[in-house]
Amino acid sequence: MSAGWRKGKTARESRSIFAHLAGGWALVARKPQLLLLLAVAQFLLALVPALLVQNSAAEHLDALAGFQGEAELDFLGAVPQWLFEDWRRADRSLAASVQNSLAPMLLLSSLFGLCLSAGWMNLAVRGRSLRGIGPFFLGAGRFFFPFLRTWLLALGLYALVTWLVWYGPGQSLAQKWLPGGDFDHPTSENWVRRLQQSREGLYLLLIFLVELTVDLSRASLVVGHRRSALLSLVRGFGQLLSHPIRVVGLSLSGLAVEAALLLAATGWLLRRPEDLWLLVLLLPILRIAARAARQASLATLYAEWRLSTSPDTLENRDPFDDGTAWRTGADG
Amino acid sequence: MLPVPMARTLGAVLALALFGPKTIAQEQPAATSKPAVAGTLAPAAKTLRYHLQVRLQEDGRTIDGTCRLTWRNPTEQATSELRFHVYNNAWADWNSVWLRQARMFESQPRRPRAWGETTLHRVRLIESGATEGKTQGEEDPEDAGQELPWHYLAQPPAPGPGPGGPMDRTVAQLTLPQPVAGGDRITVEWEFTTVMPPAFRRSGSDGRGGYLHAVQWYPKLGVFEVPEGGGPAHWNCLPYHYLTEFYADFADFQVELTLPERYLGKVGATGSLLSDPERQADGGWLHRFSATNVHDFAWTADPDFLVFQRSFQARDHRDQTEEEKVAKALGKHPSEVVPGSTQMILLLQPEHREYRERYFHAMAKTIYYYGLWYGPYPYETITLVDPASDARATGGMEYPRLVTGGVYKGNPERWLQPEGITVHEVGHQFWYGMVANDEFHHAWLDEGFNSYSTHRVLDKAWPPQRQTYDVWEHRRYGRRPAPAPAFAGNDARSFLSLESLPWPAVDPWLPSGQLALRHHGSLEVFLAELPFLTYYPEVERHAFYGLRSSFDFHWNDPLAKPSYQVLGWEMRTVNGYRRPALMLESLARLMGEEAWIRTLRDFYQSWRFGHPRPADFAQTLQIHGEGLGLRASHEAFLPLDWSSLWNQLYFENAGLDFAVKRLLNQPSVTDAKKIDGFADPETGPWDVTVEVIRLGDFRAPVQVEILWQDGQREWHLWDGQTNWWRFHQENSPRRVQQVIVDPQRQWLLDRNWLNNSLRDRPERKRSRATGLRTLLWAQQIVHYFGGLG
Repeated sequence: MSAGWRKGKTARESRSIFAHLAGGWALVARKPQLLLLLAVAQFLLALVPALLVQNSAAEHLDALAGFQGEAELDFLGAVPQWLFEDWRRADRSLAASVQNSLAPMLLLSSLFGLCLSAGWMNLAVRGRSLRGIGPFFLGAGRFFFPFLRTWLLALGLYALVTWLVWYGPGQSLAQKWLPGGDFDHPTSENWVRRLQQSREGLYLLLIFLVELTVDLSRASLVVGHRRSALLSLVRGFGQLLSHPIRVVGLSLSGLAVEAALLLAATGWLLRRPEDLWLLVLLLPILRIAARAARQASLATLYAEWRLSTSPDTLENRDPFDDGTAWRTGADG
Repeated sequence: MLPVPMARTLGAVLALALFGPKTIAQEQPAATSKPAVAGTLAPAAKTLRYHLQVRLQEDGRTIDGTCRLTWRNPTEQATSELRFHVYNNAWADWNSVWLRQARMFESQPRRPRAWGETTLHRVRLIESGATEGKTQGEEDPEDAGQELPWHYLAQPPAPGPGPGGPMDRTVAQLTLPQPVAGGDRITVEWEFTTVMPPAFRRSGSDGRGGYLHAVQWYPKLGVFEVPEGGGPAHWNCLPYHYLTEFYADFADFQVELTLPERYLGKVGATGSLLSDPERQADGGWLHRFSATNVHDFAWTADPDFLVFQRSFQARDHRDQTEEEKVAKALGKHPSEVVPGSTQMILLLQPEHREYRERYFHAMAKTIYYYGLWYGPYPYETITLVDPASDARATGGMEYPRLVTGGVYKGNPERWLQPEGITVHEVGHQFWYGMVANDEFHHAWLDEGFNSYSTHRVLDKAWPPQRQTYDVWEHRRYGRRPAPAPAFAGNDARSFLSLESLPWPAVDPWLPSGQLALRHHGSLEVFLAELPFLTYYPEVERHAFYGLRSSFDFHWNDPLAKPSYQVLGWEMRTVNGYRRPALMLESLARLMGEEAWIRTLRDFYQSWRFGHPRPADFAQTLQIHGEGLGLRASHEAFLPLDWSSLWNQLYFENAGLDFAVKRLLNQPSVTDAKKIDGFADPETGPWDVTVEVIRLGDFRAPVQVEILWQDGQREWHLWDGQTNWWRFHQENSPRRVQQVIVDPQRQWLLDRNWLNNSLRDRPERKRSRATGLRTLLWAQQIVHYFGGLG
């Protein structure tokens, strides 16, 4: 299945979401060195807390002898709780160290994700035929600050959704629906559980929709070569409302692939716990690839809509566009 | 409704009244370790009898009526006053000792939803005088019932958890016209009204006229006794303290309880129902209960209760190995130690229907094992209450013949809830219900003994508890490899994990504040951390080892400190529950199972229906520990000094921490004239050195195990009196592979087990596996955040 765009065709075919997703995977698969590089970067972000834990374990656990009649300590399967608790007491600063070292990595990761998103989207829309990893980084740099502005807007949306569901109106509604109206002294445990489950489900759904909107807004920035984050957010939301099935379907399909990978990894680890090191190496690559394919396919989907409405305006806007990707249609 | 054949119950009551409690027991072992308490009369007629006639109003929380009690002075000392507990006034206003202490101990003190109160209207003298020549309970019907003066006991306010201030109303003092001499009897009758609060701490209602848990609801006589250190008898009747529970004498209760119609058939109580409820003219239903040889009367009612009854039969829960072990220790046939039957009653909330079998199973296992180890449960019934959802504060409590459990939905089998709480509360029937210690001063004598016993039952009857995490209101097995970042909303670091955006104050324009960016719910945690992939799947919590969580706290007070005077709630939990349970299990391992079985059974049988004190247990320990000690290889033996151990365990507060400091396998000198005249490090011979140190001040004897490379194990003994111990051997043909101090894990009080052993060659795969799993976990979180925003 061709992953390229065919400008010039008289009939504006819309490809299926699965075709877009396959195209995204094909793009990603052609950049193994990039995947590896990104996986190494993510590896490094996660490495610090892991090293802290390993060093502490080496000091406190490696020299521990096994007691007769007790299971061998291997840390791959069953581990006694007392050991974790004694370890925590013996190294009281470890927990704080792990938390303090991981926290900044999370913010970095979120910002790093902007670069990745920009890079993959730009590659998908403009650089399919280009070799090497340079176009990825060009796109990442080109669109980082516009994406950062969408990121800031996204945080605002998160806060709004959080307030809606867990504070203010959400809390008032929940108390109104809860028999007795008091979460501390509910008259029915079932009601509390259902309410809390519903709120969590609704919250995640809204966050998912916010993410979709933000991804679409980024796609619009890349495809349309625009700068305004606020307007792009509005456009993204508009596209979500216009094509909800395709957008949600595409995203869920991509997530389903990733979920299948994770389930396969879990099954593998259960059967062969000694292969933990292999998962540590392979899983990040696969998950980065899955996310990249989703984002790339979303960008091409957006481009397809854009092309179908005003194809001629695109051509002269992008200084990075060499015209080949849009015209050749070859996967090259 | 609890239908019990009237004749059988009345017969039992009559038998008890005439002959005392021993007719219920199936055995009467010799009390080997119970000396007479100086100043106390020999047991004769019953000490205490209550007759309560009360009515619950339509509001479902107001109880009014009368409380008539007959008391016989069990000491040699006369008294001109009676003191009563009025525990329910702890919720009457903020002046109570309990609430004032709550504000001192809790950083965010809880508040009652509404006040509760017991109003004592008046008290009359019914009868007094010598007991000789009179049938117990006989009164002069022509006595007019002289009203007696009384007042709430004013005590000087004191800092800290001391006696109550002048406005605490949880102790009432009644002044008598004539002293009650030793052995004499008095009967008084209170008229009172109790309003139970919405469930707050251990007692109350749901606040809607439904569920009601009536405990400490009547004026309850304190205990007149000779104090611990000797001297004249006094009233042991403290105000209701935040850190302690209750204490009272054994009594017979006759309770006539009239309830609104909606509670018909939905009542549980300490006693047995004597007959079917009788409809009253005003529409209420009269329930007549009777309970003998109990020191409290509690009852509960809820129109929503599902009522289940089941007979406990030992044959359904046999543990043959355990029966044979107990029988052998006691010199009996196994059939002689199997506990008898009783009726189990479960009052269950409809929403917890699925827990019915788990509740019953836990009750049965408790009755079986406690009965096997200590003696049969002597009462006709045991009632377990599942509290209402809006009255969970009444859960997890014990009263004679009636206990409350509590459970949340979504608990898997290996999480052992409600099993844990059920075993513990039902187990209190033995430790607290029958061996009735002074909970003000020695809470550990019931909580500690019961915690120990609870964990023994859990260990026997269920597989080990597994750690769980919560996802979408369900518990799943697993434990996260490392703590995830979680900061308070006003902590600047919370922005790093995109949880909130705090800002500082900018005077005078902007106060400090924070904006919540995300809600860290269990579903999001699930998606970010992928626990099914990254968590440790099976983390098991051994029954006793889990109690080592008490080492999270500094032990500020010795066990001897009166319970109501310890530093705070943490110390109450440590000193009341976990520390004594660890201590008892340690003693069990030191003494050996058979001697320990005899020790505990003797202590229980001696003090059943009595009030033991710590010195009584120490004496029992000394008797049965005589001649016991630690063994080592080569027939070495070190006798244990129980007196010294007890002093350290009970009166002192020293920490116990053995550590292997060094294990060295040094190549031996093969040629003393050569600078490098040493043996090959791989083939030997070696000069081996093992050093074990004592980091804490607790001095205890301990075994040290040396495992040689050829697989042979040697046990050595160290008396623990010095600060360290060394083993050194030169020119050994074999290396020492590992050293373990306390190889049998006898000292559960050892604060740190990680330093109890040392391998010659570390096992690096452990730290690698730990690091890898943490890395896998961190990778997923980092990846999740890479797509966030």
